[in-house]
Amino acid sequence: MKKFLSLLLIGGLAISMVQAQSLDEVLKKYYHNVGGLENWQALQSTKMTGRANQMGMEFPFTMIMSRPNRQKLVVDIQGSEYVEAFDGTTAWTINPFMGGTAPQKKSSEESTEAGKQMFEDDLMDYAKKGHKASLEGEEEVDGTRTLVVKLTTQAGDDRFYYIDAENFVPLMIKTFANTGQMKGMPVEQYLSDYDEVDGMMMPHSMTTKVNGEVVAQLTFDKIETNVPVTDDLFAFPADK
Amino acid sequence: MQYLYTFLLLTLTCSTALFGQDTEPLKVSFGDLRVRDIGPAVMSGRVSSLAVVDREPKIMYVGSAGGGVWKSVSAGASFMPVFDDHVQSIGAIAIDQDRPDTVWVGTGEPWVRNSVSVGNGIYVSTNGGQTWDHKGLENSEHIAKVILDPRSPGTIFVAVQGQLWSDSEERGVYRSTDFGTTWKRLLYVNPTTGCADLTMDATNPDILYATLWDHQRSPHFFRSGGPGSGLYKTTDRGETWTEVTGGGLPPKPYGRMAVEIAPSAPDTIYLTVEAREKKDKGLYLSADAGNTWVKQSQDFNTIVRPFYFSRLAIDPNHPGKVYKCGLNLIISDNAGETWRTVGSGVHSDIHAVWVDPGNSNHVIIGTDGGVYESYDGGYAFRMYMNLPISQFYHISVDMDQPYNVYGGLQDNGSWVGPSQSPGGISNADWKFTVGGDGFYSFRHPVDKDVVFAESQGGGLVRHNIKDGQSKNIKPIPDKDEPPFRFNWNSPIALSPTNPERMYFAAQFVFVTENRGDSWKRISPDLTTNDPDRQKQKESGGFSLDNSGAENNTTIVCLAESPLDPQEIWAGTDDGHLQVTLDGGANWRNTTASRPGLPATTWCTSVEIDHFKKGTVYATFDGHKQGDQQRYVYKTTDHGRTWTSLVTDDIEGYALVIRQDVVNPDLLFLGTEFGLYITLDGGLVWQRFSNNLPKVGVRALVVHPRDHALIIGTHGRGVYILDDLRPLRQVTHALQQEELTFLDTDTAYIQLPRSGGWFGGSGNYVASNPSANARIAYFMSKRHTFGKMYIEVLDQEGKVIQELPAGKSAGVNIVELPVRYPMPKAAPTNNRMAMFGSMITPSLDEGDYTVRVVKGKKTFETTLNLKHEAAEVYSAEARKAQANTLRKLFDLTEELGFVYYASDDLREWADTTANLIKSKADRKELLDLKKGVETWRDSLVALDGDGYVAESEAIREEISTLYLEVSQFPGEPSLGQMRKTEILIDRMKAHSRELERYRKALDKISDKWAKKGVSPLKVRTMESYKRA
Repeated sequence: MKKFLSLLLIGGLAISMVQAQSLDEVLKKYYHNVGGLENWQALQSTKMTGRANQMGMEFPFTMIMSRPNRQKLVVDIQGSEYVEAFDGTTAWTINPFMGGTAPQKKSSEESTEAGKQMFEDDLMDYAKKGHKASLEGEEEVDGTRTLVVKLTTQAGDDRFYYIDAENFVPLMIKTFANTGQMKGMPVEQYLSDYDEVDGMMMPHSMTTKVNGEVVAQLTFDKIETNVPVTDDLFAFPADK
Repeated sequence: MQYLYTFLLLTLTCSTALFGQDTEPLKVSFGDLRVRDIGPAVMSGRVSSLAVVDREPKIMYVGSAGGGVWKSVSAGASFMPVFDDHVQSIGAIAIDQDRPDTVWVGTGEPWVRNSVSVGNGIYVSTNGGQTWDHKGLENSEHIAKVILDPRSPGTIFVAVQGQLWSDSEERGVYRSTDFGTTWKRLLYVNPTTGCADLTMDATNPDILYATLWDHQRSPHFFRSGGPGSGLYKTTDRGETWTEVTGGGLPPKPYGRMAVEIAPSAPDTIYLTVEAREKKDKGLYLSADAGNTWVKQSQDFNTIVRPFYFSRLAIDPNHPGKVYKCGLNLIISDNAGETWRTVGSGVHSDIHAVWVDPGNSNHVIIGTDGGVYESYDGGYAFRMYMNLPISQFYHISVDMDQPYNVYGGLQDNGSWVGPSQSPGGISNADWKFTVGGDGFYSFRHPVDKDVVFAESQGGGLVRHNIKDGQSKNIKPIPDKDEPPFRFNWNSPIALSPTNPERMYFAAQFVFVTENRGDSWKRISPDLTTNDPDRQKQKESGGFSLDNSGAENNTTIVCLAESPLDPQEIWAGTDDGHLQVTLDGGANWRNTTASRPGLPATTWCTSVEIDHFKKGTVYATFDGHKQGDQQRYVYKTTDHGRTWTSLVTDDIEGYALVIRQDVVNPDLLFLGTEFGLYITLDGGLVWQRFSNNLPKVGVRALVVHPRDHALIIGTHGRGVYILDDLRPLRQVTHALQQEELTFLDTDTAYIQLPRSGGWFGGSGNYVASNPSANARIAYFMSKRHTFGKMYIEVLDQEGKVIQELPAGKSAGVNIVELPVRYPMPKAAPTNNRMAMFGSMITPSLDEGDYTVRVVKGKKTFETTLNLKHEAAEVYSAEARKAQANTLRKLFDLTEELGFVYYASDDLREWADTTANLIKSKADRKELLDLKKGVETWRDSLVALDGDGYVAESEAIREEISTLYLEVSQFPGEPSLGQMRKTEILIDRMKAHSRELERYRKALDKISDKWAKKGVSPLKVRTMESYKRA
């Protein structure tokens, strides 16, 4: 932890001395400050345990993600399980709110969208992945000066990273909803409570705003890295 | 009652002495402070342009006069504003039909009425409106059309109408061939002539026709028509242009003209002509690509108000089917020879028409009152009831609980709507009071049934809400008096010191103390009375336009001092700002003492300081003289000297200034480009953009009781900043501290109010203020590293809630749900029971400790909670509900514990049965396991589909009752209370059953533990609740 603080200090000094920075410089500092690109690229899976605050209620959840794009979120709703998962091909859900207690496969459109959520952030090695990135200038986020990096994925989706100009970690990531009623609406994820996990700086608090309005707040009480995962874990239950 | 008490306490404790003047600018982040909009969408507002994806008409863009661009991907079922960061006056929208995510927006509405807003060039989005790039033409001010060359995505033609109020050379036809990086002016004749319409041959995009329009406005006059107007044609992509004259066209000069090529017959050209002579006006048709012309029609709507309605649309499939915008939409099936008029139900004043190329009967139109769609070729239209682009001139509030907002709108009358409503503020919540164009509107301060409202040109009425009748109370000149000159937007001011006194003004100030039944004149003519500025009756150019919109040399701002009823201020539209300190006996013009203010600049607002006599704020707007500078002034000596409060932070000409009613240094400024706030009396201004678009802000009201700022916009309806208290407390000192709590006073636990029904997506519903309590604090720096969260502790010091903290530098608002967490519960597949067990009981009244944990530091404050229900339901009744609810809450948790503890028994029995060798013990274990299983399964209903194929066990009975009792804040019914006791008894039996099984298994456990088998471990109630 100490090491990181000193790194951050150096980062902070650097910005006051250097006026114009290139995208590569910004990303280099960012990766440096979050524990090094090589560490992140060696990461195979994560398990996050925490609490979700939504509409004034709190629900415990577990989220497991692994390379390349598999994910499973399990929320405990009063003893019933709410599940959102993607097994690499199919997105599925168990949604007790909608009267369903059995797992349901999601639409192909939703599966396509879920498949775009890569375990490794698209910004890392973006060029090799066929994405485009550019430094768009400065903007204030949460009263803090940030450098704005725009990423356009190969699929044509735009994403904006607002990187703290002093500490070089993302304070906010803005995407746009691709499906459903919210299609086209800005979705902002505010990141904070960065803390060290196995040599990497990870946010332990995330607030999601749609069209500027808070829709969910996640607190990660525990983040585990390289947890063992099997295909079974993500698979649609009926296919097991 | 308690609100009043709080208000009194607040006003007593907040004296002006608390707010010292500092010379260092105070600039902070507004953080989580956010405005909410309350609509309205019921009357919508002026739509200037429409663009639809031809091959997928469910995707459309609506360009509004002052409310930005709205996109629908659902054929209008829902709309989303996509242009909020940019100027909100929209001139033209063009979609690249081959790449429909590429959309061009030309800003600055082309329907240039007196109240029109301004644009600042052209923008493009290549991702369907998610982000926009500004592409130049900064000084164009008004753009009439954008046309894309279908052969080349980088080629764009723009009809630049140009500056309305002054000469300018950035006007005419422009073209870019490099996607807007550079522009070439292709057609230009003189500095008062712009391009009003442009049309391209769909079969040969080298051919375009353009109409140029010679025109200009001033505050007091409008000229449409002049030597610059004409029809031009190019056949080489705009490189060279030929003026089209003769061949049946009337003689020049012309005014404004619309031109369209029939897409399915490109030699067929329609043209409306505004000519000097009435006989020459009308619709002209050429069947030979502009060589010869025939006058087809002089229908009223082909010639009426050309500056406002010069737009044609031709059915893409039928060259003879013509749509002409007008006071009403008219449609011809025979190339304009005869017409039918679209009438009932559609707002008058049509500006845009789109005809579906795939279905000619599908027509969408834009009007002064929103967007309408027809599927039967323009007979019946349904309105899109979800476009809150209403254009307010002024707003006011009353003291109801919750308070209502009153206001008048451009071409949409006067309305009143609530600041909150069960289920959200819907279209049906807004009530119409008086017609015409609407301006000032107030409720009588003490008589709830009386509303004052007005229409254009001083049409003041006293409206009775009860019976809907209105009495015209406009002052009328006596026989020895000159005619009264009332502005389009005449000022009404209620006295802050006498609820029965009201002021009104023409060139004179009038006062009434009998609700307008009679008036007393209390001033001489306070204007320049310049006869050159009094030519409304001649205004309009080639088409007389005597609407009152150019009435000038009139009073437009009025205010009585809250500290002294003898002090009255009156500002005029020709640059005067006059004051009387003796109730109108003597008036003094303060104009000459304002540094840097050009003569005759329109006074847009005057705000008399609420705390200090002699101090007054005023705004002026010169844009109608071609001057878009910002003018904001302050005097501390009744106008003898003035200082400018303008800084570079302010963008857009100034429209209104208001002072807070608690903190004298907190000022609010509305400009053409949004809301600006200063915390230090004007040393530095900051644009407030949290959910507030860059919209023209024309009206600001600080609610005297509810700490709210109500914001009236000219294009996006009304916004409310619900709680000004945090802003009032921001000082320089806070910037030195890591974290400082801001006082939010007592919070009220509100009664649950249900409302709204299954209206689908088509109706606009605006949000209510949050029902949560607010924790507010100021941080000098954003929190990024390490943990930060909030704990709420009850009177015993027990943590009852943990919440995510706000992390922003500046003002943080954290919403505290005024409820306990939900109970831990056993599973269920019964949907209502699941919802039931998610109910959270209200917190009790009293003081709570709020603790912000930030890394290793903690910060604490106290929050006081009171129940709104206390006013209606007795303490005993509320206690009865709370007790029953608590019992059912505990039952829910007890059952959850029994259920999961029984699981511990079952699992241990199952595992152990496989480990031990004694057949008898194994059998007993398996029997017990089966017994536990059967009993456990009887506690909950896990069969069924979570909807109608459900059953019910004790879990579901508890939760259903819990849900019922939670919904009413008073005493539960006798049946509910009895049932609770029955369930408690039944639960006791289940707890005993758990004990019975546990004892039986304990016996076996004790025996086998000695032989190395893991002993039985069962969770405790405490560990269950903690987990």
